[in-house]
Amino acid sequence: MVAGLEWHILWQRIFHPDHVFVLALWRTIYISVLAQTLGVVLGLIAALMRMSKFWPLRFLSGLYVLIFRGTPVIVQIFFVYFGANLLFGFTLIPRSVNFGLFTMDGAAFAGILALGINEGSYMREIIRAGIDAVDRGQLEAARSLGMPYRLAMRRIVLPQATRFIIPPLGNEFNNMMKTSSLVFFIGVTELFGDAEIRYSTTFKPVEYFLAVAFWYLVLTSVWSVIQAQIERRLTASERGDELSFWERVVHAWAPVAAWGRRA
Amino acid sequence: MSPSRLTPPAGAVIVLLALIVAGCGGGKKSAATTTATTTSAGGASIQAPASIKSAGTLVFCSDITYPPEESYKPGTTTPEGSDIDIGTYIAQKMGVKARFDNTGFDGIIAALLAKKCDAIISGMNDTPARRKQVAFVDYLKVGQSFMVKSGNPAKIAGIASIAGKAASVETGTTNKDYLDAQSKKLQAQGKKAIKVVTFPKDTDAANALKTGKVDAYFGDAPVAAYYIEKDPSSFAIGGTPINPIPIGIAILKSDTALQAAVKQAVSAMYADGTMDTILARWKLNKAVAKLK
Repeated sequence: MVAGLEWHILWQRIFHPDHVFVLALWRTIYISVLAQTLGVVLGLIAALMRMSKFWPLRFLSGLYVLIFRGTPVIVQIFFVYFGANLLFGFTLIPRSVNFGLFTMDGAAFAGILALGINEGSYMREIIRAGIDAVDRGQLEAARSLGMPYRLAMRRIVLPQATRFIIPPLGNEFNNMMKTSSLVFFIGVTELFGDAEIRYSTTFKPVEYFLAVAFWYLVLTSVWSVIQAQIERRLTASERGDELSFWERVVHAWAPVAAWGRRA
Repeated sequence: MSPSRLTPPAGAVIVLLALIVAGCGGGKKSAATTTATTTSAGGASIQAPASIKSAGTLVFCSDITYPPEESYKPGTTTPEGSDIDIGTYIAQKMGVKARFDNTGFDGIIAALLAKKCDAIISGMNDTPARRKQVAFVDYLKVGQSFMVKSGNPAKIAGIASIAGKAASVETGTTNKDYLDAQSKKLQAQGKKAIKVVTFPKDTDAANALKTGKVDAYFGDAPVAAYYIEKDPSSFAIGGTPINPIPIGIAILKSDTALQAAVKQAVSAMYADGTMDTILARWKLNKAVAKLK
């Protein structure tokens, strides 16, 4: 038996979350989804730049990866939100950002930007590897049919590369959901920040951290199912040797049993 | 593979473009928009600086993980505590609303310098090092306490008895600076140094004591008193509070209008007895000292 664990706190956090918690959960979700999306776009742009014949583009792409993959993301978050004010004396990101339809907390917006830019530097390598994995003959065949390079890239190479990109992308997003907790540093109360705040008033770290671990597990589990569905769709042409939806679910929860299969 | 199979990536691209467009548009718009909030004139007697008056809100940066000075009411996003009451009173005197933005203590001065808030109220000690960066309007004096395991197994009653032992502190605090300085002094006297262990949050520092990773926690007296009240089976006080230093509201050095207004509000708070009420409400009478 675990000594002194207040089960009712854990219970309440898991089965009766209050609106403050739901708001924190929602922040974690939208921050990680938007940051990951931004990361994919930046990664794609940087990957295409890296393959350019024009050397300054290749150089810029390399510099981008060097800086953003080589420095801690928490430092990047700090500089995105505070940097412009502290270094140059102007406000890059205001306290709240107005998008017309809705306003977003400035710190959350800065967090999304910083996490997205950081993620882009990792996505560049993943996307490049995906493009490289497509047989060169595919591009050559498309070109010999008279397709311009851009069209061939868009219609022939990138769609095939997507199949190689999705599995590591899923990993990245899984990581992103947990990394997004770093934005608590600039004052965004997301899932982990909410747990810290509760723990600071109640002094019950074990209960609140166990509960928050449970919720991250829910998020990552839901994502692994979504990812399995995406992968399944993308491998439609090779259907037969991949796992079914329910096999994936079972796989996620019972990895040992799945060893027997060729998964 | 038929073209229709490509919808997920295509959809993603559209979402992304929308995001980028929204991002660019938003940046420009927000610069032009000023948030207009209704001004509550009740009890207003101090002239607020023009920028705050037009915004209708006095924004404080506060590390809201620091009971009883500032913490969230359980299950809400409503901050409460002695600093919250003091900040609210000051804003009321200026005829504006108070808002408290939760900011990590290690980045809190950076947030003020970056103008993410108008002032800091976060139990912050007024120190010469911090005065190089910001101006302070002091409002109380706070001592610092050692908190130990209940029963005080390590027999800690003050600086002399902590030599050679481990003490936890929150990073970026005067508590840490003080212990570091005392540690050097002890070494100069030929005694063992204090093993100072720093944590990102004050509660983490207290938790290190609870789990036996350190022999004592060193922090502000009101906070130590709060922890002990919350968890008397784990914690006890080690000796009497030492080294009382003023705590103040930090304001940008250039913002002299706000400094003057806050100064007036603090003396009004002392004069009309509100400060006594607040200290009594948060049971801080023993842990803090009034300025005069």
